[in-house]
Amino acid sequence: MLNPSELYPVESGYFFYSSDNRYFNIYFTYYDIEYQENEKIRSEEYLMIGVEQIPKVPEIYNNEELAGGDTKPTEEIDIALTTAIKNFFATNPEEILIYLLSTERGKQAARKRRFTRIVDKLGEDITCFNYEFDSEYPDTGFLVLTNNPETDAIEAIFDEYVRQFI
Amino acid sequence: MALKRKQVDTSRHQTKAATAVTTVTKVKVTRVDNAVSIAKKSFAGLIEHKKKISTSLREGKNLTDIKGIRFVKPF
Repeated sequence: MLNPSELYPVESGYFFYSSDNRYFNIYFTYYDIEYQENEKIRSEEYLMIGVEQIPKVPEIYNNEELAGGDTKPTEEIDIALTTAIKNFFATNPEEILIYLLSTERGKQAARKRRFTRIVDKLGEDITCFNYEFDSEYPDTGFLVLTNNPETDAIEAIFDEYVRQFI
Repeated sequence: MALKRKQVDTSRHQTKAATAVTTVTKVKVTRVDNAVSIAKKSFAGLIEHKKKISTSLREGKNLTDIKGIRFVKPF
C-alpha cells in the first residue's frame, strides 16, 4: 500500500501523491547558468529540482492501493519535496541545487510561503539563499540550496549572477 | 536602481561534529532598462526549461521522452 507524501522511485525521479488524489513527479534536471565576469562569459552547470503534477499513477504502481492521509495536501507536498531534497544531499555531498518556482501573476505571496515552509523543514544543515524578482520577472523566485561548506563563495556566484539583471 | 538586499535570518547551530550554519538571504531584483544581458537570457532560458518539463509532464509524457533536456536520478 502506498502512503501520501512518501517517495516512490520511478525512472524519472520520484513519484508521490497527496490525499486529495493528486499525483506528482519530482525530477532533477541539469541547466547551464551563464553570466559575464571580467569580460568573460562564465558558464556553470547546476542541478534543478522540480515537482510537477502528473495525470496518473506511474505504471509500475498501478496495482498498488493508495492509502488516505491525515495531513493537509499542501503539507504532504512540502514533506515530499523536503524529503527529496534531503535524500539528494545525503547521497550528493557538497552540492548545489536550484529550486525555481514561477507562479501565476499575483501568487507571489503563495510562493514565498512555500519557500519559507521548505526552508524551515530543511533545518540547519542545508544553507538556503532566496532570490526574488519583480518587474521583468513578476512572479518568479528561486532558492539556492547547498550543503557545501563554502557558502560564501556560492552566495558570491549567485549574487554576481542576479546583479546582472539590474 | 540598486539591488535591494536583506538578510532575513541567520542562525548558528552547534552540533557534535561541526558547526553548521543556516543562512536565509533574500535578494530582490528590479529591472530598469531594456538591455538584455547574458544573465537575463540565461534566467529566461531556465524558466522556459522548467515550462517545457511542466507541459510535458502534465500531458502525461515520461521525462525520458522529453528531447533536449537532461535529467539525473540522484539516488
